[in-house]
Amino acid sequence: MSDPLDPLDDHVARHLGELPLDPQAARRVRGRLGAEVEARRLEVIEGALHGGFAIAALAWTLLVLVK
Amino acid sequence: MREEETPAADYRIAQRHTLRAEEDRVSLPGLRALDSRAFDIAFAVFAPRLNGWLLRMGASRSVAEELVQEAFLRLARHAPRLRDDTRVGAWLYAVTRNLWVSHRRWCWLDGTRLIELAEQTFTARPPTPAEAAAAGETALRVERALAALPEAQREVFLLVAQEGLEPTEAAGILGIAPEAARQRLARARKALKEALE
Repeated sequence: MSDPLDPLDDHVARHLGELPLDPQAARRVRGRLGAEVEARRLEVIEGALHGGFAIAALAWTLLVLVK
Repeated sequence: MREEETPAADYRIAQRHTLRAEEDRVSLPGLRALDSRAFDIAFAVFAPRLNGWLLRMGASRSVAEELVQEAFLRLARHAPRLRDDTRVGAWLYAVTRNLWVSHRRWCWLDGTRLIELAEQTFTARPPTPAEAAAAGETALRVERALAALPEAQREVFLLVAQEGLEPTEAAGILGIAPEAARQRLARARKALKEALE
């Protein structure tokens, strides 16, 4: 069940303006975030490649042993 | 308190959906796949809100910038492990709030910061960034009344009144019991009512 509404909340909320980061700070943070996302994506790709190589190596070893 | 043109109930409904509506704009699969466009949208949607919340909690502009950045970096690191039912906005608020609490704790342990705090206590308080940005007399009164609330009450009130969260949702973000959130909210409303009358 939701809590009862209070008109005071509306009154206050309507008078609270936005307080965004200043444009320079926003650019800085966005740049840092973009670099982090890119680094994480490369990490994921690298991890997948390593996993793929490990599976291929294991398969090859098994094949050699069976032969 | 001045009467407003918009009926309070309608406005309240719009507010109640604000955070959820904003969360709908952000693609969770995109974030999980580390798609930079999804992060751009998440940043555009949530960074101003988190920054505003931090400034109203008493952070300086530089500290707010630092903590907003850290919250988004954590989102990037954690994104591939986000669950299907994750509410990104609430997740970011919880991380930001924890960062803010850690920062405050660190300030208390740092001697030079203690001197700063003492100076602030015994000299006239400069206007907060929110007070400085207030558009008009009513907005300034509201910002001052909010700034005068104890932190514990202010943080619950802002999440409920501004973001339209239920007190139980706010309690989840703040890591407190729902009943405690309701009590803090009631005290905040009472204090604000008295200050604004």
